[in-house]
Amino acid sequence: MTRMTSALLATGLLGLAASATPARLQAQRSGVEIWSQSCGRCHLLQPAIRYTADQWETIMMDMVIFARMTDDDAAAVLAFLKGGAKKLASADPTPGSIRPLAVLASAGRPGFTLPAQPDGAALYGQNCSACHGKAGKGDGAAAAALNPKPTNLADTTFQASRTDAQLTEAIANGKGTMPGFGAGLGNDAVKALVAYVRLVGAPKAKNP
Amino acid sequence: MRVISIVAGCALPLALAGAPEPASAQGLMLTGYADFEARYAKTGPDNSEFFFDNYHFNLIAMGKLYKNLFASGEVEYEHAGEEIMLEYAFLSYTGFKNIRISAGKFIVPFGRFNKDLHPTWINKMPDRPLGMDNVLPQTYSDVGIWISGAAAVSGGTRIVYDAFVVNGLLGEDGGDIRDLRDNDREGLSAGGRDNNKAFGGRLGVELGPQGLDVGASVYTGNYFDDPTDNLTLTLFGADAAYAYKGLEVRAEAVFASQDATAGDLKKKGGYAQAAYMVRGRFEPVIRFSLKDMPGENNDQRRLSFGGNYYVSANSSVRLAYHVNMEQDAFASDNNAAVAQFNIMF
Repeated sequence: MTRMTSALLATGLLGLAASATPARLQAQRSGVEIWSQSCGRCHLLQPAIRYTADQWETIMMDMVIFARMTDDDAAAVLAFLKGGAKKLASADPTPGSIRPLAVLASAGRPGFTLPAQPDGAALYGQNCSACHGKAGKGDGAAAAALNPKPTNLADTTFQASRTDAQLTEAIANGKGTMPGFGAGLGNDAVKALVAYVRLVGAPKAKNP
Repeated sequence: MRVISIVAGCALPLALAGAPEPASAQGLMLTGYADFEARYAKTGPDNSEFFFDNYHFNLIAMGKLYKNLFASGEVEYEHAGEEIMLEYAFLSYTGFKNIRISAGKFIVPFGRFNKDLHPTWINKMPDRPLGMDNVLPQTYSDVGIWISGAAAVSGGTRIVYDAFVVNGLLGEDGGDIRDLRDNDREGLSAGGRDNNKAFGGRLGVELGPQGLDVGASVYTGNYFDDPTDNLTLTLFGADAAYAYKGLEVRAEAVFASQDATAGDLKKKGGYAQAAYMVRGRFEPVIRFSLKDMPGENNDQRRLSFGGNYYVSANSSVRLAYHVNMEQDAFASDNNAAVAQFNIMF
């Protein structure tokens, strides 16, 4: 009984330590960054498009327990995954068939292939790559003619300095010489673009 | 025991205090993994065996029952035969910040391979390493209470922890540890029920940005109840992993101290493994694993070479060749080759 009590007490202390962790100590990391690190610790990263938003909620609840994630990390990852989740336009109950690994995004760490979000990737290619470049480095075909130059989306500092909300605002309503895309593309498309921009930038930020 | 009752008694009302939500809206999921393999092994100087195996066809059901109450269970169907078992089935309460309380049958959180890495779509080789059988009886799941969680320290650094109280391994005096894990206790005296519980846990640190994580685990409990002398089994474990770009290096060690009336037993096992992902598709792997057991000629060493081809993010073909080295160093000729296809669905 003594040993058991000690174990439970120790557990309680750990729990208290966890709950007492100041919010400021929580890493302000993007969902895609945490996704690539936490999920990639054990297995290949699963594309967000593989599951619906509801299914990701269930999966993340499972992963919170199995992978020992903090609430904040889990929420960030879930937001990222739901942003690129499969939409059930028609009845499609299958959680996911074998899907080829999508575009390599130079994931860096664990060497895992970061599957692109098809919607976001396509939208990026159609609307952004001309200026920002295919890899987001700000070196698109139109960049030479622009002043100031398009933002290097793959830049670590830039990625760390912008919240998802700021990216959303910039893409939707424009910033500087960049036009807004919100009215033409809609909120879902903007959300997909934000997720894709994070995908373009975060892995490099992780593994210089 | 009263402590456990109090904890369990508190957890249930807390769980039910969460706003009830219909389960149907919370995405009950059926998932799982399966594999098929062909295996060739030398079983002696002049003998060999070649066979197909449907090692796993495991179904996992999980879903949110209420706001903070989650259920998950895995039915394990192995070797395409009659071995059907409940790998785990538990309820979890997730309403406390960064703390999860689970009750039921769960995979005991000792080390990494046992709980996290053993599924074939995750394990980088078709087989488990030496030591993850007779020292740590992977896959070891048990019935009890499991508390787990994580705390952010700074940047991407996390402290992760697991603590558990379970019925515990149980079996014969000095018995093989792998034989102690059977949760079907009906064949044991008094149905295998006793007042002795086993407890332990794992404490780990994940240095996310550095790709490094380390952990230490412990398990201790009586495994044999004798009227005059309870026999205890204690396991200590250490694990470490490092990932950088395509490289992943991992090692894990388990040390067992097992009381026995004929003399206490010391056992140890572990592995070191390196894998490198090339272009997100092909992954060569090398693994060295060992187990040191009591008695003559019971130690084993194995050097394994493998190559994985990822058909998709959830399926792969794995090839492996095991060079087995027994106590008589390199004398035995029981190498094996395995080809496996696995998928998580």
